Amino acid sequence: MFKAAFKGLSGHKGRLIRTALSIVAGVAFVAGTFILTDTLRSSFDDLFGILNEGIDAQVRTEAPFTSEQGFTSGRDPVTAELLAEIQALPEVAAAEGSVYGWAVIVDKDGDAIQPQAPTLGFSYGEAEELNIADLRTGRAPQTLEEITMDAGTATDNGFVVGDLVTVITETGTEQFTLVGTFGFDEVDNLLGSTNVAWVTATAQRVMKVDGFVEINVAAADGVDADALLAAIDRILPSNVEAIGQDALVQEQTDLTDSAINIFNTALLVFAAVSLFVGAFTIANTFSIIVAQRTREMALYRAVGATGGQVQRMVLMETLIIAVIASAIGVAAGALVAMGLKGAFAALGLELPAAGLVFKPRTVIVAMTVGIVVTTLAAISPAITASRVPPVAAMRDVSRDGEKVSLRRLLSGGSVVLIGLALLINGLYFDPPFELAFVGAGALAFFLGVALLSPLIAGRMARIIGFPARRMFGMTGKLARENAGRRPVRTAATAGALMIGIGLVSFFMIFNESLKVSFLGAIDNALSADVVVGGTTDPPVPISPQLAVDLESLPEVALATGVRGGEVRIDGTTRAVNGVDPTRIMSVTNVEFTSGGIDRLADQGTMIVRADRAEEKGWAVGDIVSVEFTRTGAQAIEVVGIYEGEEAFVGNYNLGYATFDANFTGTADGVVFADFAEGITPEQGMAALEPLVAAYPNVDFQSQADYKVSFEESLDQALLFLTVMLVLALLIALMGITNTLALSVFERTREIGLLRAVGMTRRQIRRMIRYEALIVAVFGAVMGVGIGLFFGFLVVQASAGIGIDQFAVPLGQVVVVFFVAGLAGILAATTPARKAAKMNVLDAIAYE
Amino acid sequence: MTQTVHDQPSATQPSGAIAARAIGAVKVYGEGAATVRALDGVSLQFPEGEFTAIMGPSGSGKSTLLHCLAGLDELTEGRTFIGEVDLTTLKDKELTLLRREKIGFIFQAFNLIPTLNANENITLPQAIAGTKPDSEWYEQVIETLGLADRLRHRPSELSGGQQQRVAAARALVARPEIVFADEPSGNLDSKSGSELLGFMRMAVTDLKQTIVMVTHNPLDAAYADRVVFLADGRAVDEMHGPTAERVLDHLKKMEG
Ligand SMILES: Nc1ncnc2c1ncn2[C@@H]1O[C@H](COP(=O)(O)OP(=O)(O)O)[C@@H](O)[C@H]1O
Ligand SMILES: [Mg+2]
Repeated sequence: MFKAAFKGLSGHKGRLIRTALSIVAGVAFVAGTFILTDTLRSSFDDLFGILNEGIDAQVRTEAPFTSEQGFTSGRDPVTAELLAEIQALPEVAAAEGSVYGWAVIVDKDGDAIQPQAPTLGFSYGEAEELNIADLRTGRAPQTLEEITMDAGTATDNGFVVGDLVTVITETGTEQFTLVGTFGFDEVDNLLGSTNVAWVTATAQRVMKVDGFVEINVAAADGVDADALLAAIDRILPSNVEAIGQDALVQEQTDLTDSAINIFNTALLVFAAVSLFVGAFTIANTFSIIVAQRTREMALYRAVGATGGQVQRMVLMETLIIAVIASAIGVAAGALVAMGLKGAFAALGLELPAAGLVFKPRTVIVAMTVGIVVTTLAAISPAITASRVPPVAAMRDVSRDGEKVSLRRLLSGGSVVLIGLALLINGLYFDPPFELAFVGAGALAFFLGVALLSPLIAGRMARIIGFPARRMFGMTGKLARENAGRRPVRTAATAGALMIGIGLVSFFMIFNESLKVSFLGAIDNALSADVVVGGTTDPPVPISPQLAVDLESLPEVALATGVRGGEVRIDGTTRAVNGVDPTRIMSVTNVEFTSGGIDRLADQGTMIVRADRAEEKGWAVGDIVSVEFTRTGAQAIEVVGIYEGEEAFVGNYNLGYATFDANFTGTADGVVFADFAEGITPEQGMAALEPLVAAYPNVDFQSQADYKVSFEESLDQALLFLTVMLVLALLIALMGITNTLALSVFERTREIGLLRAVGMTRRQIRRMIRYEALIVAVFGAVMGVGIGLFFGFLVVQASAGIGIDQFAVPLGQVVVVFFVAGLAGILAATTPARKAAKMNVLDAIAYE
Repeated sequence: MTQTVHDQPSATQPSGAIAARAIGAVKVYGEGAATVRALDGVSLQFPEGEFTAIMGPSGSGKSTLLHCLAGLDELTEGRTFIGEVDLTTLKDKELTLLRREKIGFIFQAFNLIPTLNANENITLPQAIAGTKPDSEWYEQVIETLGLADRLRHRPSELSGGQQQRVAAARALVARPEIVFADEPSGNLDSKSGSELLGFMRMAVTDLKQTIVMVTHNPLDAAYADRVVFLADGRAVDEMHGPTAERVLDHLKKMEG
């Protein structure tokens, strides 16, 4: 049978190549994801190796947890005295205090350089063993006014030794003389970040660090890591710790690993969508091929093959394709990895340049997934093949009028219900592995709808095709009839498109609902005329001086900065704000249900949003424990409980006094301002011009602009998600092409007849294109329908995170239909051309 | 046949206009050793209003001749005309329009589009052209072919004979200059076959249609005004006012 399978395959090359392509694409996505994330991991490992080279131990103050947010390490500095003591240890060859924090370089046009990566400043090390920077040009900084810069940033922005460089730091904007550029080992830049370094004293001044953020230590010859740590430990004060290089690297790797894992999962979800769509295409192609080979199958049966043997033959064919296509897919994965890397670079997320990492795991997982998915998709066609009776070899099997079976109805219905149950459970009942429930539910729902859709495919094709009949006469009529004559096939073809479009339109609807809800929330929560910063990712640290400067303008009545940080409450990391109790009420709208803002000025107080307070069972006057990275657990008194929009006024607010006492560094995340009475927004914004020039690293936006940039950031996220689904859509289109090509082949005689009685080639092409258009629009109708339904379910379930309005972006939905139709027409290009080229005589020949 | 030869009738001198003709038609299939001369210099005329049957042994080139006359296939040498139009000078698009407007077809099988009902199949060429058939003429053809009560049926709901009559109706409704039929009764039982031929005869006699029909059945040939005999790609003989016996005799003679 193996031989027969191989023969069967080689007889149908064109369509098999397209079938294989849909496997290749899905597998390539899976493999590409693994390759990319493995490559990322290894790049970061290399990076941390470089950054910690020569550091045998690091000394720093203890922190109960590591905050991933904020602009500084979040730890208290260690003292110069401690450094001296460590340097004096015999086990120590060299020890050096290091200072680092944020520093934004202003380029030669006066614009702040703000990559989607950290903007760092640090103290240039003097100890050879510990210095991570390697000079490229010039020399190390020696005086307080000198600065060095990473060679990558210098080259990109045209800085050369001798230039004056403007740098924005916590203390304001200052100029320094560039005396050198440096790299890190063999790279000139780290992940697109910008880096400047000064002598330690300048770094301490501009970063406002009294002492050192950490002390790096190199062991003396012959002293091992444990001995070094033990020696240091003996002299450390109680709140200071020393960790070895391994632990240090591990700590940093853990941080990036969790981010990479999220990234990996997200990409794999999209890969799964592509595979799911690919499975549809495969199943459909195989069932058409089986239908067209009914005589051949019957002949095998007639000469004595059992049903099981025929079934195995079909599965064997599938397996051969699956193995070959998956292997190609794995290889193509490398291309996908490079493509994704390029796509992210285009979006501003520059990833380190490193050779692609190809692990055996990647090959095994991607191959297995490809083979399993393909084989699963072929099971139903294989069963159909095995049911072909031997007598079918003798008669001309009529191909039209396929019936939608009761079994399909029952199984489709129950799969839909199961999907719905999983979805609702995942969305509304917060089970563990919530996302798995939602994902499996959505998958089952799509599958069930696809199983049921043949019920309506015929009717839908006629409804959708109605205008075609009206407008395009006989070609339209025939296209409509052809689209409707094989409901199972049409439904399966449209079903593949439905999945991609369903997800895209779901994202659109969710995005729109989010937008409408949050824009409403901005109106409700924010009364400020001006918003400074707060729209970039990563957030730009804003010097507290900016709020002061703003308020000193005669056109500005009031300006106030809001600081952000992370704390732990009951063991969970939470975001807190630091606000000025005397000003914040003028720019935001909150309503106190008990207590008030007044006592927030006191040390050790906080106000809490009502929902959270209720959840925790807190009331005004309660003393609760809040853990800070710098100061550890603190007793904080709840002095007010308020209601307001979570996204804009947060859940926990501290006064400046409490915030600054418990966090290192002071930088605002966002600054709000109100214009003075009688000042129009135009006048006000004009008055801000000098400050805009003085603080090039932050955006100054009127409330209207702020809303626009908020919408833009949401739209960018939507665009990203849509781009990730493009592959799934392409696979679905490949399915349309495949089905049409097979149908055209099947209708050779009809097409020949149409040509004979006077249909022009152009009309034939048009007929096929209309058919594709009808199928594509059918897929879009189902997809948008499901998108609406999912959108509704999810929005209903998201009231808790502030999404309280269901909104449908009509314009975007129209675009989806338009694009789907256009794509359908494009997918029909090849089959249409084939049909038009068909030789009339071949078509009418009667053997 | 490379030079133009006008009015070189093969045997007869018909009185009226000529609906179609072939002049030195040569059709060669294949290359090298495997070449087949399916038509080896055929010159024939088909007068308007005449019912011509083409007969000959299997492989003698009957279908090839019909296809070339109807603009479905291209000659290797020589020329074919529909009316005064030289088909060998036409492009694909022009040929298609010519087929749509001036030629009717009845094939041996697969004459109908399965998704269209009888009426839609009959008016298919007009629908493709975006025009309407002449309703009076349409009624007359439907009447003649006895299809009035079958118009809403799809091909799968019609018998073989009915299907071929629908095909004949389609060929006639367009009022083509000429109808080509390739073994139209080849797939029918003898009763349906003779019924169909009766209708075709009526179309010629009553509706003044011109028909060229390939057949291998002497009974069918007897409905024609004239029989042309082909052998090895040449027109070897013809017979006027054929009867089944005479045709059979002639065929026996040809084989013997
Ligand atoms: N497409 C083709 N390719 C090669 N040879 C062909 C083709 N069509 C017909 N022939 C050959 O041309 C000759 C005439 O065929 P045809 O016109 O179909 O004969 P008839 O209709 O009289 O049986 C035959 O020998 C046949 O094998
Ligand atoms: Mg023939």
